[in-house]
Amino acid sequence: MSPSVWRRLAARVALRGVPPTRRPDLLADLEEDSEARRQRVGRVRLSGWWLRELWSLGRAYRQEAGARHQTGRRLGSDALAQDVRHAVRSLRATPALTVTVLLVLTLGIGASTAIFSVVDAVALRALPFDGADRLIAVAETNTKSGRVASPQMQDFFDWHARQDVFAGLAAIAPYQGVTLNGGAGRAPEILAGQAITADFFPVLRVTPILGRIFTAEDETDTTSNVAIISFGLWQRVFGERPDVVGQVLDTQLRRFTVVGVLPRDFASPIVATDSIDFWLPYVALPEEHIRGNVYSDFYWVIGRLRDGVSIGRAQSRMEQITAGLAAVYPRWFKDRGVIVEPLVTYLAGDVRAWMLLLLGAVTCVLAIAYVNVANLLMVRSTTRTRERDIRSALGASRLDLARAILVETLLLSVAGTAFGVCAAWWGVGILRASLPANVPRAATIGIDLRVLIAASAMAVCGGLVTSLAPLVGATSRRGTGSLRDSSRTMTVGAGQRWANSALIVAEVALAAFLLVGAGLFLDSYARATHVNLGLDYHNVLYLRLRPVNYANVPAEAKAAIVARNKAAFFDILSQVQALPGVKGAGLVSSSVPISDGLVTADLAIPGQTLPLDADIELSSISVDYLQTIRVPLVRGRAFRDTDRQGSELVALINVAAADRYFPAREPVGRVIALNKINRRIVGVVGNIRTAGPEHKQREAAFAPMTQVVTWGATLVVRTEGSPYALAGPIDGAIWSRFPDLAMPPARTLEDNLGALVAPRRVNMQLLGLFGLLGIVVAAVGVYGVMTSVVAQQTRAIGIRMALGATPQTVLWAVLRRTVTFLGIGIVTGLTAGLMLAAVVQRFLFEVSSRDPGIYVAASAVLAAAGLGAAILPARRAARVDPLITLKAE
Amino acid sequence: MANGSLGEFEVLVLLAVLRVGDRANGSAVRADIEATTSRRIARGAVYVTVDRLEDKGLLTSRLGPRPSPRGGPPTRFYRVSTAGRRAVAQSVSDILRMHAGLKANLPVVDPS
Repeated sequence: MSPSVWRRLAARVALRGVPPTRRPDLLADLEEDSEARRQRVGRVRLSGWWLRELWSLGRAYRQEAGARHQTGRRLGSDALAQDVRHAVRSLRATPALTVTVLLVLTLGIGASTAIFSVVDAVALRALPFDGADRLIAVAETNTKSGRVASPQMQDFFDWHARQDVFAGLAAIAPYQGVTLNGGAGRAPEILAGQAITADFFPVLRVTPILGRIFTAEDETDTTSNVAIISFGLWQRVFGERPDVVGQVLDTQLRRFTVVGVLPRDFASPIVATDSIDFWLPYVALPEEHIRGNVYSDFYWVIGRLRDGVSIGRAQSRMEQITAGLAAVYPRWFKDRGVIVEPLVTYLAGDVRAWMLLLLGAVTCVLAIAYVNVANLLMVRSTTRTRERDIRSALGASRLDLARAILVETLLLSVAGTAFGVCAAWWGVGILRASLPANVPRAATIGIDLRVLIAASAMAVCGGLVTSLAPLVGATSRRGTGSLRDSSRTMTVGAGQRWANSALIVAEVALAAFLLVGAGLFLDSYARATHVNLGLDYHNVLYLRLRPVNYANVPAEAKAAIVARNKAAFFDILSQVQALPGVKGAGLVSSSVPISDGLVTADLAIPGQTLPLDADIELSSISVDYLQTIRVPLVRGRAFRDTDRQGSELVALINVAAADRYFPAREPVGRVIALNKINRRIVGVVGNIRTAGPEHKQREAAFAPMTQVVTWGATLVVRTEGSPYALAGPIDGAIWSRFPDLAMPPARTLEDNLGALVAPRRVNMQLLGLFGLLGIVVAAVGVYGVMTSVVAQQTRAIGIRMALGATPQTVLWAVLRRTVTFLGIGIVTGLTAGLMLAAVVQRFLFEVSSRDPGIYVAASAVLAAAGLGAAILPARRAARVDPLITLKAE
Repeated sequence: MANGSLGEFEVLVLLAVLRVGDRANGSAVRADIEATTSRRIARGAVYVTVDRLEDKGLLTSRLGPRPSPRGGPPTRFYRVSTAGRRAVAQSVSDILRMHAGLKANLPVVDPS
């Protein structure tokens, strides 16, 4: 909004009470003075002066009006100011309650604002592209399992050619780990790339700041080697040279010619962890046009809906196209379906459901907080009946009384929100840091205008709803009954007592519900982290060595390079083994355990027919590898130094493979064919959960690294102390053989495990926190209500005690009442939990969402907290002195 | 407020309008009072008072020319009516008569 609009708005507000015909010339004079002043003071001070003057104008007229008519009718803003002053005074008069309410609101609003800002950034907010709501992703589904799978290039080419519902359709393939050669004071670095088809940038409506985008010709020309680079890479490598187009990006894979530079704020929507440095045209292999046995993994297809085409229509059109293809290639399309989803939903994937779950849980927390505040305010309003009756006797209308309550509640709500947002500011930082790496758009999480608007809306709505409870209590009472009686004898109307009870039951129910959730996630996490992985993952560092990309090496030279590199690997291994602090070290060709990739081999057993899906994980390893990660040998022997090239080809298999492929037979001594090479099994080793705790143990086989051709290797080192302390010396050993090798940073197996269980950890922590908040807030609620109940019934209790009731009886009477509340609340909460159990089941690990133990535990914890909170008021009741109570009449 | 008599601030405003002359708008009146007396005056007070005086027929007003080229509403200028002149003369002379002969007992106020 322009300044003049603001000024006009301010004038509208400030000049209420000034005759409208009078306003223009008042403003004209003000403007004249303001002009004169402008020469002397700064803008900010001028604005302040202007506002003060404006306000003084309006105030003078309103006072004049009051004096002239002598009605005493207050005008809106002054009445409001008076109500606010009154509210502040009365809130300060009951500091304990005010602080409690503010604390509860701060916790509730802080938690929900923080979670909302995460959920919003990750799953709800539009993608940062022009017309982002028209962006979609196309994927394939397994119609049998319902799982979403990577689209296949073969299908993409046909979709692209036949579709008429998208303005563009682009395929994206990961192109990771290309090493950019060093030079001119730069160390070599590993770049992340994406291979994309020509529609990619038009679909996203991104144009390069320099150069051009790819064309369809780039996809067929295998010799051009063109690349588009990110703004960051342009800065880093080319120092923002304006003549970068045509320059060479010198990688160990190929020498690329830069044809374009992307804008600074462009980030590929599809990113695993890091940002993408360069883009290549997708040059398809000939096999990718044939539906044979070449498959694509981790591919993406994105598109932009044509104007006027709904996503439903796009879906049915794609199904139609795919059905047409399926008629031609029935074998390929067995169990294969197609799905069109909004890109923002597809990106969030499973995380979206998770985020919505968190949002649901935190909504519960917020609901408890507000219910609690309503309850406390209602309790308080009963103790202030006298004050209200006096005001009403002095002529305050019911509207005036209602407004006073409303103002008070809104004031609390706004203050609570302000504190809550501050708490959230702090919490978001912690949340962002603790989120697992697979959460998309995590970097954009923060408290921004959207979040603030949501929080403010929440404050106002919450305040309005919360004030309903005391409002009902206050304005439904007629007359000035309490003025005639002493305050001690005052009892509360049945309606209000009922409302009190309902609120406390609701609070307990919500807390029970949250606690069950917390229990389920806690248990899942505990189970996931206590799964026996089959190896000892503590203090194990690993480093991938991929010294040369072989793509440009002529075939006849490859064997020599491979042999030389292998010798170097073993030399590095023996250097590392000799380092002080190293307990053991080994080499493995494939991925290390507890990480992403797994390599399966073609399996055959002479004399045996295996099922069609028979396969086996295969790694080639050095002699010391299994010992280094502490995988036990179950039968037979481990590899020895004598298992070398030229000696008999040998293999180890794990227990799972032995059980599956050699049931009731001794595997040691038998022959299996791995990738069509016969090897004799010399031993059986323990199972490893290669893919992490939540995947089942797979059949695995190992071959000596000396007996296979390896392109690269991973160095695995077990250390005595902190693994990272040895990263430097290990790098030294590697550089002694590969001086210009760019290495990804060393990681530990523990890091990997941490990353795999991170979603569970975050879930457990958040839900645990919510559960705790739920208990605390519910306990506060029980305490508040029971205290007021006891206070209101002091006289009745006094009479009962005068008539012979013992302190115990009184104590039990109070506790019995609490038990009723708790009982109804817990049963309600658990029932709700059971009904929603199916929703959370997919987020759990080895725990049933109806696990009775957890329900019982949650009830017990909540019951204990609730009774604990009621003990204090109950004892106060038991200590009532009948004499004093009755004298007070 | 009894008919015919003026409040003190009303007297000051009438006097200021007379003093400023042709260019007597709200701002100028206020500036004149502030400059001449030792008071700070709320902007609103001036306008409320001139409105009241106009209601009583002691002031007349007219809109000035449009302050081109910036546009915006024109400012309003005031003149003291005949009744106004009479009333202010009456008030001032009442005060002067009440004041006469008391000089010795009042502290001297520095006019600056």
